[in-house]
Amino acid sequence: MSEMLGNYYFLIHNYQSACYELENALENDPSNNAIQRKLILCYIKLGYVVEGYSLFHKILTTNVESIVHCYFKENPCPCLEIINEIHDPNNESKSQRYYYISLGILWLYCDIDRSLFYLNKAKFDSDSDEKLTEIINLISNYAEKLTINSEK
Amino acid sequence: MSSETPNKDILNSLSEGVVTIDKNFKFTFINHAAEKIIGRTRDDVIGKICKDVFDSQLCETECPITLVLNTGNNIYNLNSRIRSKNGKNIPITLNAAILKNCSNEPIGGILSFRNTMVEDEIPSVLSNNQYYGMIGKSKAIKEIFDTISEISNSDASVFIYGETGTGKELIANAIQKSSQRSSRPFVKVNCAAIPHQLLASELFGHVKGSFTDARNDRIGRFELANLGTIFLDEIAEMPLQMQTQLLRILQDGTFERLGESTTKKVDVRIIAATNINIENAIAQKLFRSDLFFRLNVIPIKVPPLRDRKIDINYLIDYFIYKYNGIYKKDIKEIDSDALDILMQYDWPGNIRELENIIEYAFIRSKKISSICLCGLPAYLIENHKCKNDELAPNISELQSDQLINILERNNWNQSKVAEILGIHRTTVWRKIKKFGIN
Repeated sequence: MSEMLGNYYFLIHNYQSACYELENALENDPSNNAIQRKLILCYIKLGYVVEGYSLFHKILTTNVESIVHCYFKENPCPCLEIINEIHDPNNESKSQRYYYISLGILWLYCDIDRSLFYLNKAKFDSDSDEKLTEIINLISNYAEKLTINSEK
Repeated sequence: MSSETPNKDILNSLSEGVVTIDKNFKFTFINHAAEKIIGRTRDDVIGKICKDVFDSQLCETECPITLVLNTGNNIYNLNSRIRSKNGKNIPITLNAAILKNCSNEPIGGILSFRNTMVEDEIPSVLSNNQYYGMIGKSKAIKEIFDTISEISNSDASVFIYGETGTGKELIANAIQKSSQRSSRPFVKVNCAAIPHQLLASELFGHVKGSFTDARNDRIGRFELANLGTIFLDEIAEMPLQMQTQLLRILQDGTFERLGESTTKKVDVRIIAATNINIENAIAQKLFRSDLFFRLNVIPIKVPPLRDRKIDINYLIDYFIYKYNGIYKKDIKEIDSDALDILMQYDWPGNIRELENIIEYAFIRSKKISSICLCGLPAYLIENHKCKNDELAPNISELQSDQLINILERNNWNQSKVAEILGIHRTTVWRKIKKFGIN
């Protein structure tokens, strides 16, 4: 029941309620990628970046394609709207790790290169974050494969 | 349920629109009637998100499927509006339920609906005898039409009294349609249909955590009706504690959502209705007298049908017109013998009973172009012999599609269908089994 309710709240952009329902749904179905993808966006939108980052890492280490070739390609994708809300042009020169991580996560739903751009910015501020290094490597390798395939 | 369901032919045979959605609220099925109502083809709709297609007032606030998910109760006969392909607002009455898999997990939803605009339209031949969908020429009903016209510029509360089946909701509709608030929201609440413990939440809304099942914030019907009108049907069923809260809204328009201390203010016109003797309810301290005086600014007493039998003819003409459209028949009139019976009857169920009887006669009058005596239910025609007896189809001649149609129109309530057909409920059940209706 929670997944369907979560999907509804997500559709009408009621992210607080969506987050609650999708978290419950994920407890019952921990490997459900569709729930995870939406929950990551809810977390980022609500400012729970640590939770979003952790789930983002989990989903990428399991299946990097699940976000890049994601559900939102054919569905209303709210990530650009969320990017516009959190994007602050004055922040570009500042070193705010979680700000860049948020942008890196959101852009992966739409634009893999921009995602890597922001994730690398985050890494520049925190070189010792092994989780972030792993994420960047996974996405970079996947991006390379995509390039090779498209050249073929 | 996929589009390849074996029940597809049955669903396509219905006059009521039926759609199914998956758990992402995307259309998975649409029957022919639904295509016709919304003016879109199957290819145009399948895979799209329902709120993007329906664009209904309920989608963002009170999605019927979500209400069923939250309450566990199916929804019946909810009035709403959806948008057709050409942008036209279509009034509908809808039912909603959840589809579940074998593990009892929701996998989608099913909505059935019918276009009530067709039913509200009155043909020109009847237009002289109607007022905003109400039919009649009797002195009593004309006085009600006059009252509604006179109060069209007023925002005062209205209290409608009348026996069950007299058309109180139609009067509320007419008051709203003729008022200055006609383009604003019109929210209807049947106070008897909502459990007492949920009524406050329904009317005033709640915030997350305000009670065990309040998992999300939800706005109430009064906020939904802001700047418009709310119709509180069967208001005498409202518990006393709620009556106090309603009195406050009437006095200054303020209330609080459950679990929230912030006071909200709304501007809502209230129309209330009851079918019980409200003076008795006040005397028995079941209804607050101060609330009654606040609501009773404009009282409208709806006469029972037995007191305005002159209107029966006009009502029959209208129902014949209506059911010709629904059952695709061409019945022209009612025989004088049958009309005599109807004129002599006392009508305890009022107009609703008359409508049921005409619908029953439509189902039975398979081959004829008029309603005759033997088309009427058995309880009306005891000791009467019909001249056209051999023409009237027997209940045994009832066809599968006719039975499906009447079951569908009565929310698959077998008892109600049995009552309309004048047969026992187990006979309806046997017919369903015989026709293999799933």
